[in-house]
Amino acid sequence: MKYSLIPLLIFVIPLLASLVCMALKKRPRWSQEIALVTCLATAALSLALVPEVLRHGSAGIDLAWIKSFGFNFSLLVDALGSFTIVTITVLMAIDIIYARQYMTPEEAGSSFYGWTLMFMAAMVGAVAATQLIQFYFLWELMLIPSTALIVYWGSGKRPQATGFKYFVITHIGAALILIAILWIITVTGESNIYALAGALAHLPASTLTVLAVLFTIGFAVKMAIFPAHVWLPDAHSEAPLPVSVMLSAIMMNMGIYGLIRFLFTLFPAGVANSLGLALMIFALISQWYGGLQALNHTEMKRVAAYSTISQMGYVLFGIASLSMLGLKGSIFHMLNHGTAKALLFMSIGSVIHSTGATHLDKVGGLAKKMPWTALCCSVAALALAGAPPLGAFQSEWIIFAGGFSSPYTVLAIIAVCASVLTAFYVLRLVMRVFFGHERNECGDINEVHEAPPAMLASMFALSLLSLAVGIYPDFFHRWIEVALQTFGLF
Amino acid sequence: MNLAVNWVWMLTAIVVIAGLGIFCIVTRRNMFRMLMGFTMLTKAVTLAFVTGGTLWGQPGLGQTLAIIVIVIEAAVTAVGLSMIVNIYRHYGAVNTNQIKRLRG
Amino acid sequence: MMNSSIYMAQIAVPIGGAALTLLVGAIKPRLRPAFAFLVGAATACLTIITLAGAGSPGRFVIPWQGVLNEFSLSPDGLSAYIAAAAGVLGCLILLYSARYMEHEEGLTRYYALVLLFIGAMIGLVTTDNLLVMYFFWETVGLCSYSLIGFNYDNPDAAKAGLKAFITTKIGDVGLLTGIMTLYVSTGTFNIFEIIDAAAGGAIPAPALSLAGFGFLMGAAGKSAQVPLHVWLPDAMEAPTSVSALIHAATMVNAGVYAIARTYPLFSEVAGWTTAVTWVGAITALLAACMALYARDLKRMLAYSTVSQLGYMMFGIGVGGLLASQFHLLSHAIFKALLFLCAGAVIHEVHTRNMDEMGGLGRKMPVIRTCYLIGVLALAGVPIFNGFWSKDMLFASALHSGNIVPLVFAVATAVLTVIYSLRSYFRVFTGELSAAGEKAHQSPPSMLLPLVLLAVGAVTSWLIIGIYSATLHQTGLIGEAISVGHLIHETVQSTALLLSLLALFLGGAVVFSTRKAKTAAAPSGLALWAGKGFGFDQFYLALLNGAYQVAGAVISTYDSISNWVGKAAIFLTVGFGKTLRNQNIGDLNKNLLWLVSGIVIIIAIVCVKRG
Repeated sequence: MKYSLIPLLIFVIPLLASLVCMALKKRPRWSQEIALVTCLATAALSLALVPEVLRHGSAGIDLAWIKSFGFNFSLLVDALGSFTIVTITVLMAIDIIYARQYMTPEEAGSSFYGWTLMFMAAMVGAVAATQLIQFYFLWELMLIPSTALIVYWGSGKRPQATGFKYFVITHIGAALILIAILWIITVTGESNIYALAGALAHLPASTLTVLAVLFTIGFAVKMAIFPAHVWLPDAHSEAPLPVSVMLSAIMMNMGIYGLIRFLFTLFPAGVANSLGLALMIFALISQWYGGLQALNHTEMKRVAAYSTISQMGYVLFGIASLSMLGLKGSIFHMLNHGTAKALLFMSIGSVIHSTGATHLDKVGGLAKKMPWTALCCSVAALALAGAPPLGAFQSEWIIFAGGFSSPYTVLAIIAVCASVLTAFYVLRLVMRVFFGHERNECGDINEVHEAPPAMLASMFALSLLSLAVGIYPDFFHRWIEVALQTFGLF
Repeated sequence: MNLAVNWVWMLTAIVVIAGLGIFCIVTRRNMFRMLMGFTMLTKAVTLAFVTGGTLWGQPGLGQTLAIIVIVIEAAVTAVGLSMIVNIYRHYGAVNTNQIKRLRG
Repeated sequence: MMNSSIYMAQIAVPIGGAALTLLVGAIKPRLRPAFAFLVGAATACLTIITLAGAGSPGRFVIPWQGVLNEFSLSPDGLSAYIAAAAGVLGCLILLYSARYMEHEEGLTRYYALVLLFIGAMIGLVTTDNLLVMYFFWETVGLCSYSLIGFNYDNPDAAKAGLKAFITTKIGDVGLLTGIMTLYVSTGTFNIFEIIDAAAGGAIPAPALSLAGFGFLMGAAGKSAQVPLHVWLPDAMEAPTSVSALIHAATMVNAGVYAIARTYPLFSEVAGWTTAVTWVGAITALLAACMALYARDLKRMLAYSTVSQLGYMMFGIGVGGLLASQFHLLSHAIFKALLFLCAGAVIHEVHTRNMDEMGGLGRKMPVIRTCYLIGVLALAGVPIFNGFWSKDMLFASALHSGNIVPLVFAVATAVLTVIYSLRSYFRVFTGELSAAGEKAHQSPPSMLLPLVLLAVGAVTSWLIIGIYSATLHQTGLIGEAISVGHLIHETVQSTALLLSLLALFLGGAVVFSTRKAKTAAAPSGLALWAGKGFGFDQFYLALLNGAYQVAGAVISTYDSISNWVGKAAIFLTVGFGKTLRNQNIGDLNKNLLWLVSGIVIIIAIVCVKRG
């Protein structure tokens, strides 16, 4: 491991900045700027970390904290970690640029940015954490800002109820993770995630399976896999739009990261084998459930929220196929789904911002007045549907290839069929909203205008990112291969 | 001095008196009666101390503790009575049903 | 040996042209048709040049990354001719579109999509990498769907576009499964490497079967074979030039091409060739029946396309690869011809219903002649190109001994003669209808492609020599046939009898019922056939049913989860309420809790110590 201050910086800087923002109650504009600068800096730093990680395998820092308990505060970022952190910070930076114009500083208030920065800090910290308790603490720390963001800025009739439901259900998942963590620490006495594989090898297989199941359920709750998905549709559609982006595109990656990290780095090889079939089935149910519900609803944000459930089904399918290809596709999908989903939400936000309509049957034919938004939304739609040459095509294809190389070909075929659903609901959204007869039932059609420049800029950035990843995936492929080498697999 | 004590009878007596005392505290609505129940409980405790002291060969300690308990009980009874008087002056009743002000 | 970068050029030119059309459309809209035509002409030239080297093709390779190891193009005989067809027909149709579409809006989008389509189609057939083929497959589908829904204000068009997209996507699931299975077994996407691997036994039989039927499913979707044919008739909402290019002459051939390309791979798979034969034969017959009762001119031509594609599938299934591909080329020419004529007619009379047309031959003589030539080619009258290719198909079927499908094919031929001749008589002869009063001859730029195609319909069969030689050189067929050989064989074969029989029967029916021109309202079977044998209704009912079931399952889950949530709340709140009694204002209750607590502690202590 290479000694590097950057992991510490990308954790501490947003944390401090968030406290500063919270303190600046009277100056929302200042906190807006602070948030922007912090996010950009964090993104830049995490990108700067990447070459070091790739060269040395991992980079991090080890600080002695409570010597008596042997708790070190150490941060380690390896290839998988850096991939996740880059995804999180870059998407967050783009989202902040969007949020600056979507919500006026007065609407948002300083604490919005404070919570956002704390959220990001917690996520980055959880990814970089090396000790189990440290991980758990930061994992729980993620919950509070997100709940606050939903409750205080959410639309919908009772945002408190939605936020509470989100908090409680995710917390139950976290409690299962805690039980497993405490069990591990008591039995093995070791709490370093990266050193546990050896210690755990001495435990009987049944214990390991139970632990694996506990972790899986905990992370599956976060990933909103059926049947633990109930919190997602309300939370993602009632949250304000920049927060929906954060939850759908960024926070979901934490669940994916946690699952992969705990199943494949923490445990010795072969533990996940018995779980493969069950996970695959749940993944398929998630895919289809998400797709069908997305077809059913007309509120645009809700369609996107159910789409997230469906896409997480794809990711879990890739992980559950227990093949190198499947894992590779799932990790890659972190980035691609994040980009595509963020883009989708942002275009929906642009439509809402401009027309005031939240349901797709209330507007139509907006492509004439909002051509750039239409273009970006089409890119997002094509990406989610898995159309080349966008990034998500690559990751979906690799996931399917992984599925086909597992022994359950029939399940893989069912998964491929689900992509028809995806194409359908996503096209329906784009067709109804942007093409067809021009109309706006929630306002004056003549007042409809293109999105303001900052929002457009962030949408373009995401479209270009998706396109770039699709056309030049080689770098990302190599990056993920490095990550996969460190896993104890099957 | 070694007094032969039939500890079974003593135990029964203690339990009965304590039981009666607890019963009064828990079921009676009139605060005076609750206080009486408390006094009975204290008597049972006193008896227990004395019995215990005799039984385990330390009669002196037992009796000393009993006297301490009696003193404490006197103080508590005095304070309790004055509180009841104050409550009566404030609420106009000594029935617990009529002085429920905390949200039930 | 030619410079292999020409392969890339024939894709890059039209696709680049498509992008530039957006620019031209923004700066000088009046130049759009001319610009598009020039790009189309350049593409056509490039594809024809490629034809020359098709016997021993080079390979154009761009190394790529990740899952796709390389972007490679290698047009052999099979590909180069279809690519040339796409290029040349595309060019002609762009010329036609100049006047045909001149009053439409959104022309930038139209020309860009058509050019993109041409490029993607050429790419689809010239690549030897399955992943790249899939990419282009999706792209042509996208262009098709966008062009079907071109008049997006028309709700029928939008619905038809969506239907096309979804139906072909369902087929694409099969294609994807097939490609994936092959990749996972062999580690490569290159079709030739896969064929070699399979020949060496590297692919396990179940995987090969799965892939084979997957490809068949994908081809059935794209080439509108039964049961995935339902999108093509509705796709007639597209402008007729689009119908001619995409839905008659090029895109729908993609499925047949895929089957032909993978024939060496799957021909040994149990039941595959039988399935292909039957799919083709059943489609051919069923679609011919539907065409017989269609009143809408374009719809009839659409059903006819489905039927002819069925012939091509049937041809591959019985082992007549040359016959099938030859028919593909012939069909591309005469079907495009028919559609373009139909387009001209519809443009003038403003209706698609054949019952409202009549006697137009006097007003539009050139079109009448061209249409007649197209009909004769479709019906398989000797000398026209359709006759030779159909005859070859029958011969192959006889040779391989598939008698029952052959009977289907011959029956289809009879029906084809009937409906095609009938349509000619219906539209162009007889009394002039009310709608035809104002009709007049189309402008020269629209007539020129028609005449060229008509000439092609008469003469295209002469290239059999070069064509079969090219196919033979790249190992796809056993031996090459020269023109003389073809004539000789045809005249001598039994198949000739079948062809002539079909013509005779069909002609007899047509001429004998000519007098009864106003057909009685179709009833019973005829009505059902006219409505497409109920496929659409069946699918709709199926989807509805599935949706209801899914909805019921989901709502059950939702109500269960609601109940669980309520129960959890009830328990938590109840527990809280009980505990609250410790501290409410009722003194007795408080003391009760207090005393109970003490008793419990004492009990624990006693138990612990004793």
